[in-house]
Amino acid sequence: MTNSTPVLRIEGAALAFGSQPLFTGLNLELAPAEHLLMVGRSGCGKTSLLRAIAGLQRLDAGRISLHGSLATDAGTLAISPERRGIGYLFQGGALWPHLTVEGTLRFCLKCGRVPRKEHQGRIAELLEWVELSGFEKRRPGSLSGGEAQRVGLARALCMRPKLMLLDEPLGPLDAELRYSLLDRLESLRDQLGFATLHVTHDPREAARIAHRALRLEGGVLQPLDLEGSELSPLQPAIR
Amino acid sequence: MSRPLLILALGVFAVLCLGPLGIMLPRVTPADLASLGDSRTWNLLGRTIGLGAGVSAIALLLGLPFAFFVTRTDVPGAGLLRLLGVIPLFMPALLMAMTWTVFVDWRGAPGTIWILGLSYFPLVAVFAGRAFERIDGRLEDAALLAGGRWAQLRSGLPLVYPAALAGAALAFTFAVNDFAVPDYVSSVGPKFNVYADEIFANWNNWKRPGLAVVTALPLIALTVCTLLPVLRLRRRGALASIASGFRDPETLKLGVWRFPAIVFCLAVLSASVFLPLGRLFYEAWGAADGTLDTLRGAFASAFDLARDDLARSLRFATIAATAATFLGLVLGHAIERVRRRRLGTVLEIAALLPIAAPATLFGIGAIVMWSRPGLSGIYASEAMPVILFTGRLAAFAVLILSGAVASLDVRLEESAALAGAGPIKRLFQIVAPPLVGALAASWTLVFAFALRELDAGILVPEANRTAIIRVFNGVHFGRDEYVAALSLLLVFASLLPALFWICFSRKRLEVLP
Amino acid sequence: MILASLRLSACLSPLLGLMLAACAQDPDLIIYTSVDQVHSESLLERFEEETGLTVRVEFDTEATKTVGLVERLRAESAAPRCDVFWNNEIANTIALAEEGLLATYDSPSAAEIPASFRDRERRWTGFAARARIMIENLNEVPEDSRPSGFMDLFDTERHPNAAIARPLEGTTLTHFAVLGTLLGEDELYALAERIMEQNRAGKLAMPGGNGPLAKGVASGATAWGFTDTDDFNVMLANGHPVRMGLPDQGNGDGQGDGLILIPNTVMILKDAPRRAAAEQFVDWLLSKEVEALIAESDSANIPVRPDVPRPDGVLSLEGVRLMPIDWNDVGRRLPAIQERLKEIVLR
Repeated sequence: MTNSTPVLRIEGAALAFGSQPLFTGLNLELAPAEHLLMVGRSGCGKTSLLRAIAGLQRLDAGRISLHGSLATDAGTLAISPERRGIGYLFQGGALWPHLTVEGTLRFCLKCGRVPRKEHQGRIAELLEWVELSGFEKRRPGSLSGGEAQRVGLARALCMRPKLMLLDEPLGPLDAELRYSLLDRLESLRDQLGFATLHVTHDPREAARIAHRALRLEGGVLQPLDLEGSELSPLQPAIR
Repeated sequence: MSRPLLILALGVFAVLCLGPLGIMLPRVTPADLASLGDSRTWNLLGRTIGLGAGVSAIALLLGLPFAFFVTRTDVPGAGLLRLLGVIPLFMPALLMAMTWTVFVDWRGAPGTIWILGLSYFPLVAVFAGRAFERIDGRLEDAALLAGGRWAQLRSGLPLVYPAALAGAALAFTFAVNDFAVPDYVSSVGPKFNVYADEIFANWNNWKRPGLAVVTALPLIALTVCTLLPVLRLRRRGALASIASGFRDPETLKLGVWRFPAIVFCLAVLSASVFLPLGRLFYEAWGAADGTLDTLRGAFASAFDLARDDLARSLRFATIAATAATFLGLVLGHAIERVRRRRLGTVLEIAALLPIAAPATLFGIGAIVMWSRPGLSGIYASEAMPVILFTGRLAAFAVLILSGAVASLDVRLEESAALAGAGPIKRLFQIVAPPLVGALAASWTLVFAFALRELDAGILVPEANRTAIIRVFNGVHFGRDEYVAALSLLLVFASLLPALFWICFSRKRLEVLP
Repeated sequence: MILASLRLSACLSPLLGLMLAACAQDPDLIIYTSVDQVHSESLLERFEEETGLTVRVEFDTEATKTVGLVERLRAESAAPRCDVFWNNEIANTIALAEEGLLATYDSPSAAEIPASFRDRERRWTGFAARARIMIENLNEVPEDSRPSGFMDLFDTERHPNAAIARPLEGTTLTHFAVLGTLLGEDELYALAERIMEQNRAGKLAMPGGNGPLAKGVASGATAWGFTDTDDFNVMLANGHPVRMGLPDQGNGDGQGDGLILIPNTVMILKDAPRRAAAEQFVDWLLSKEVEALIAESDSANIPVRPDVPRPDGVLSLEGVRLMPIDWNDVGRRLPAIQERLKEIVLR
């Protein structure tokens, strides 16, 4: 694998929801450290594509390669989700309700076989990255939406992934929190050097930290000009 | 989902839960099948369906208002009333019959329907109660603004009906499979024959060993058909679902209606709990000419004679409940999360079969299956009752836990997978902990049902040396004080884990998510 | 995968351990008995004390009317576990014999037992009989209008509030099968039809078994009915106002007349794993001393040998007219009779 090997390559991917095709013959590449914004209306298949990349969903046809290795070949998972080394920030956080913030991160570190003696330091570092130091003993039920999202981010960063999938990360947050989380994401991305596939239906804020943007519409990916008016709100057409 | 774990669990399920039924099918001959065309047995089945419908109606009539009062209103002691309302489920229905036939002269169908209705009204109360709690306060507020109090009350009902009907459907299935209560209640007056009598009578026909198996099929089909809509409703989230931003519904102030409400609740509890338990105490006391010494003596002799049986019962029930819950977690999870939905549905229906089949069929099937050369070490040992009870009752755990898994956000597992957690770690460290209330409910339910399992246990070695079987032996011989004391001990033992959990755990027992 | 399997075994091992730990040691003799626990337990303990053998006993209960153990013997026939079956009745015994599940054994203790209680091929032996008698509530049945026999079930004017258990299992089925062989099956079915008519009219009760029937009469819920001597004796011992009537003794004008004795039966199972101990037990059980002990018990069974001492509560057969019964014939016809009765009764 060379430095120019794409972090993610999708070739001829096809997926249907029931009898309704979401996309067919979809191709996509993501370079190391690249931040790609993917825009599309609700239900256009953005989240399904992310889930397929993560191995949480199989494809009807096509292949997905991660760092040059075949990960998904149509309906077959060549690499199981837990071995893909992907960070995934779910919409709303999807935090484990029975674990504290510290317990959540410790669980991930254990899964990643990080030696126990390193746990404390790594947890402190992760919480510092997402500006949640002092939240170790809190449970998801006692976190605000923005805090939960940042714990989700810390969890996604736990194993220092080379590919980060962001599924509507700003969804439920108010404007101030959106900007602060975007700033966090940008600085962490630059610091840790992960590639990012960032899915949203409202690209206005995210456009400023992305390197490239695509629109998924009618099952086809079309390039978007980050500076152009195309990134104006999709609001009228949404939902 | 861990494939080895799932395959192991499916294997165990197939052997323990389905094996005893499957192994009986080869007994069936074409002549046995021909008996299915007999109009007499269809008449019996029709009458039995009538019985089930009547029992469901009583269960709804008592259970629905009871659930409403104890969950949504300011009726005094609502929490305690609600707790007491579950007790009839932990008492054998025959105890209820023995009590009620002493007090009133309702025999035949009306008496049977009333007694079984009282025994199973908690199913409706538990299901509907949970649904009442799950009415979103915001919906009610919207209805209140639009149409006042009445609209507010009515707005939640469409959410409660499916749950109440699900409870009634369960009551129906229990009722149509019972033959001891109709038989006991109609021992005076015209005999009220039910379909289960036909099955039992056919066991006696040794020339046609397949006949009883064939006769059981319509009842199994009826039970499965009744429960399928319940599963469907549950899948659609109709039994208990919470939208994001959910707000607890407000407690309704009854005002002057508080008095009738508490009278109603106490009347239901008197009929279904206080009367049978009181009667047992009265008998343990030695009836009219009893003394405290009689009571003490009754408990002493119950302990003395049945100590070993009671210990065995508790041991079997504990291990069976643990094994069934373990199996329920793995299979319940598989039902909800398996990639091919149809497979999940098939598994769910298969899970119904052990409880849909008559206990005698299951018991004899277990004997046929395990009594063979090479397996005598297991067959004759204490492992056998555990195998039997786990096989027969694991279905409850599977259904409770599949419901619980359905209510769990799948992304919790997905995020764990992406964090590098393998399937077993996900199941036990991510899925199981949030479901602890459901796990505890399934454990306590299987435990209680294993303690009172009579019809299947009676046939199987070791399983027939249990406290409940001693009770029924005793009932026959009219040793009233001792039997009453032992019955009370058994009811108490059935309730113990649930009581323990309620007292010491902050999580509640969740039969429904 | 290997790690997963290891973890899985770690999870399951405590359960398997418990199961294996539960496997008990083999006893010297395994006996199945449909004689109720309260009656048989002390006798079997006595056998253990006298012989020093450890006996494992499996009891049946009233709820299954013997069918449980018999079904179990059938189901276990591929790998017999039970050595001796001590049955408290005879119909199922004959069924087991017909099915070839019993071994032959001519116990020396059985030499004086009357031929009518012994299988010609020596697969089973009858002893300690129960009788089908009438139980009457003293307060409900006046001395001057006591029922005299089976046909009084239909005379609801003179003998109201009668009861008979549903004739689909247990000794009531045997009773009907005996009537069927003596009166002819058509006559029996006509009687059964009449019984059901009376029941539907609310004039004749049908309790679930002979025990509940005896309890019902004892409590006054019904006035009188047919039951077994052991059930009657339990009610009497508990101080209930009941008396016993011997059916069909008076007129002597019909074939069906006389008291039906239903013996306990004992048999050794084919391929019994512990044959020597099984024979030892059968010899012991069939001894006159043990038949006398059974007569002394609460169940007060009737010794079938005239010289076995019988205590006061036990029915003396002296002067009693007994119904002549060919048990092998009854046993053979029983399944068909039961099937037809079922069609009449379960409607």
